[in-house]
Amino acid sequence: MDAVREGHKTVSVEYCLLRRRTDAGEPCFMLTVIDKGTTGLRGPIVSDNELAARQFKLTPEENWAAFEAQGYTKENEDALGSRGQGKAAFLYHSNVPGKVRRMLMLYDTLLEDGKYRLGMRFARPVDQRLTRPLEDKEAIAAVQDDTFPIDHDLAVPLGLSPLREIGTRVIIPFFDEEIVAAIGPGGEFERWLQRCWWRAIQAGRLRIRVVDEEQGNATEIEAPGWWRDLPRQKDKPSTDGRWIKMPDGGRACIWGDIPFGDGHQIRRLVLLHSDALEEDEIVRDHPEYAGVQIMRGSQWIETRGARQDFGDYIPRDRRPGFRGYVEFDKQTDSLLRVAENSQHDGFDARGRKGEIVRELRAELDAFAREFSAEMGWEMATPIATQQLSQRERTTHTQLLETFLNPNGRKPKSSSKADDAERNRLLWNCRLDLEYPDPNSARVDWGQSLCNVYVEVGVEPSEELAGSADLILEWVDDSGKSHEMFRRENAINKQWGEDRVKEQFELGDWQILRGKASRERQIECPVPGECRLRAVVAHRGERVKSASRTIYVQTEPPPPPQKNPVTLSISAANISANDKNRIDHGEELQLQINARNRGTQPGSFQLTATFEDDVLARDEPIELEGTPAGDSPRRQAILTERLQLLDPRQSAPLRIYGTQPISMPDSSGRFTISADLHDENGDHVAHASRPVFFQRDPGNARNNLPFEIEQQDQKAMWLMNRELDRLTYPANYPLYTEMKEILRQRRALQGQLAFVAEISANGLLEWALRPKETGNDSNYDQLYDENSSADDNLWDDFNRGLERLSKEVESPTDFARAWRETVAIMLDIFAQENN
Amino acid sequence: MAVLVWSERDGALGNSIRSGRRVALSAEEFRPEAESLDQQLDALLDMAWQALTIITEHVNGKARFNAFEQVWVLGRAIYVSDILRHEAMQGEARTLLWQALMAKAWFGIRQYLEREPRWRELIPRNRKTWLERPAENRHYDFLEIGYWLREQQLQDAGEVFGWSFTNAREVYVRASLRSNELRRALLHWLRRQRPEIREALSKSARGKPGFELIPKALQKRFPAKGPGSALLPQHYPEDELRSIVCDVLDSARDAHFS
Repeated sequence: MDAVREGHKTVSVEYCLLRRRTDAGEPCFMLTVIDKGTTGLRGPIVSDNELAARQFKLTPEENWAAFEAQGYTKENEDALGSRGQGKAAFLYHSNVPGKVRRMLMLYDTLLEDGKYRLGMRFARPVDQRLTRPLEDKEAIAAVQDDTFPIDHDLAVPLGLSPLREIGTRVIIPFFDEEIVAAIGPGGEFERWLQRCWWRAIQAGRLRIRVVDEEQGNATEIEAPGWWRDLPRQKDKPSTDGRWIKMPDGGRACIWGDIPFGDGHQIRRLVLLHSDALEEDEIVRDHPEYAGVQIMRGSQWIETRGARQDFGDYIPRDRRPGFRGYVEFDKQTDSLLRVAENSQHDGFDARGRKGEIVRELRAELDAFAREFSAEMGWEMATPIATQQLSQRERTTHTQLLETFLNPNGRKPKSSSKADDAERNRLLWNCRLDLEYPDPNSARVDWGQSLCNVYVEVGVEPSEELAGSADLILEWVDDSGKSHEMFRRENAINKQWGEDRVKEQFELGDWQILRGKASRERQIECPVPGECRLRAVVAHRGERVKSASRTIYVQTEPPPPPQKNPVTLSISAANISANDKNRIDHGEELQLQINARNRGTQPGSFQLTATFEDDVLARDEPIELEGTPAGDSPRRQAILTERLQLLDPRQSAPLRIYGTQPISMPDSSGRFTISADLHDENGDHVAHASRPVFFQRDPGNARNNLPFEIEQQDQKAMWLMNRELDRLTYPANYPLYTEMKEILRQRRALQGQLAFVAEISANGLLEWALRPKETGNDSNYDQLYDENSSADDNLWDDFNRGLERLSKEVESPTDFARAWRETVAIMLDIFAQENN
Repeated sequence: MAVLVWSERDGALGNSIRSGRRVALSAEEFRPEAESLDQQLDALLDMAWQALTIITEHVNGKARFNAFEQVWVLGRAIYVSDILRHEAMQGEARTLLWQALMAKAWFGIRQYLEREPRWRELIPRNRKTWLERPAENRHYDFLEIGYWLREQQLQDAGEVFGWSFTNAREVYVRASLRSNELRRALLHWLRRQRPEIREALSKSARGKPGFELIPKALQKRFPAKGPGSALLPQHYPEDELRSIVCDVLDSARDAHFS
């Protein structure tokens, strides 16, 4: 449909099954796929060498070259899905007779200027194509000929009429006989076409016919019966939904223009149930119609299953009759395409690019629940949670997601969402240096910071387009930054490497009070707390930075006396990144980290357990010291990959490189614990972290650490002892005086601003309270040593957290640092979500 | 999945299907699985009752039931019957089974609605608060304790806890002391004590040192959370654990019985 010709509204595609005979007289099949109303395969013929010279980039008009090539990208198109997967699908269905599995396809096209071309691709054992396609009369003659000789052993029976309308035909000779049976009327092939394209057919943008020439069958694919009339309801559906009675007794609800996530929009969502509908699935474990079909550009990509995903809301006997679909505005469509796999049959919900998918799934979940409640299937939710509006809950979720994410990396600014390339890259930056006094971050005028060293990493390396610059800058006591050094195109991709890793030795840098007279001198006339910062800039944007604190001519604060050493545990389900729960056979990656805030390095002993399993017992650990005033570095002291097994279920396939752990029970909340002792056997730090095995943490549906609820209480907000519930009073004077927001334009507005503020406060308490026992697990999820922002706000946020984690002289100082950090958090939240 | 729970209202028996899933649905859709589980509970309760009749002491021809034995028998029967692997229990917490099991034993309803009043004898005399609040899990803690005791033979478990359900509960409520390894080490220590000390330690007399000094002393050494909680009894080799338990309990004993 992307190649629709100007002035044409509809693209027609005809699948035609033909019978032919091979040279040896054996019967064989051929499938042709003809499209009309398209531009045809336009553009010049581009050789392999030329394509390589152009760095595998093609313009949108170069259809012929795109069809012939593999592994290219088109400019102004999202890269995924433009890599020849569709062609490969055609090719795989050809089975050339012979001992070796060989595949073949031909393609001819008639262009607007009257040109005719015939090309061919032959795969296995070697992928090859006609170096020059046949053109015009030669091509027409070849198409009409009874046989098309490939080599002296093989001739393809063709005998086709040349194309008469502008368009393209793909010819699949020796069509796999096993699939022929599926092409009959009402067969699997037609059903799949209907599933994939019914919405485009219904909207009049696509016509598909399946013809069996010999049998004389011709079927036109139509939208399934239950959708035939529904989307044509008059009046624009409202965001609150419009309920419709179906003629067969069922009910449906249509919603329109629903905003979700970070400025995305659902154009239309329809959910329907009718007892008259029967289950219509081809592959039972992979939902097709039974659920909500996610349509991207009128094409079915994925179904959120009635059983698999909405099983909690839709009773078993209602599932066969449950259907739904959702479609989006253009901008959301293009963002979804970035998260789509190249086979167009699913989305990747992991990482930054999958954020939109996670948000969409949560949104669909909420609508399925609403639908279920309206249909009387689901019991009413408790009153306490009903009082909180959906918008307030969304604000709370957004705030938490702004500061926490599953990869432990800060989300980047979403203001330039069009740059999909940038979102896929994960950058790392580390800055090392030696202070004049190894025990202190103080540097006096005339002294030097020695052996400044920067390490930059990026993955996946194949996604890195172009190169990146390295910048070293000095941030003075007032927060003003001065660029001191820039190396352009310093970070390049190396072919064949999984990740890019570059190291830079930048030598010694002298701090001066007066004017710098030579290279590697830093002018700093005002004493105070300054920073040396390394920044990575990619395609004009600052994508990652790392900094170290330097006290110029000033004594840094002493290291804390209480809990100088802390532990933290990170644990993630790496089999399914967007899920907090770990199911039978899935992989848990756990890492235990320590920080030593003391100035001296130390030897310690680590003990770590996961329920009945001992992961480490009195394991000797060496921790580097932190110069007074510098930010303590997180040091990984134990990393494990565990495969969790349900003792009541049969063993699944083992995951290579993991340690299998049989859990004490088939479902529950289990704990990873770690203790650190010093050389004298005295206890110095403890951390623990829950793991939810085959069970969701009931309080956090979106993988968030705590929920927000209203409750009768005096305090403006309260965090419970378990750190999983933040409450506020509905009658709090400030809250009641604020406006209730009906249409949200900004992230901080009316009562939503109140919710954002208490969520920020709750998040700080959630991170800092466990630190009282030396447990940094929550704090580490909030604090990112390598802040990744193109302004200083994230840096300020990290400084705020550091101040709160240090010992402060008085409660008033602590309260002030807390208030300042909350203010920075609100600034960041507004910036990231407005 | 779900379980079938019997109940009585105005003298009429009825049943409902309950599921412990996150969002409550009409759990009726799981009735076939729940009914199949209910049928298997017949055999479980029969097995438990047979075992109880063998071990219960009779005085003047009348059975004298002991709560400790009753819960051990129930726990062991649950374990031996493998009922937790039934498909109706897939993805469900054990507490749901306790609800089904207790209601079935109390109302004594077999398959095909035959009545079985003897099953009531399996329920400890003062463990019936669940009848008033059947959906609250805490009222079924005696079944959790019974299931926890299943790992030990009755004689060994009885020796450790002085044949007292209350003593067993004192240990069970301290999550870090639940391992079988610790119970074995405790038995090892108890068997080395003088008979009068063992006698005193098996009782929980108010104002006098009794069994509770054991869990209190052990919990100080093995806290359930916070600093020092990473290494629990089950994480030590047997010899080392025995030595730790002996040190801890010897000093606790000496402090109370000197």
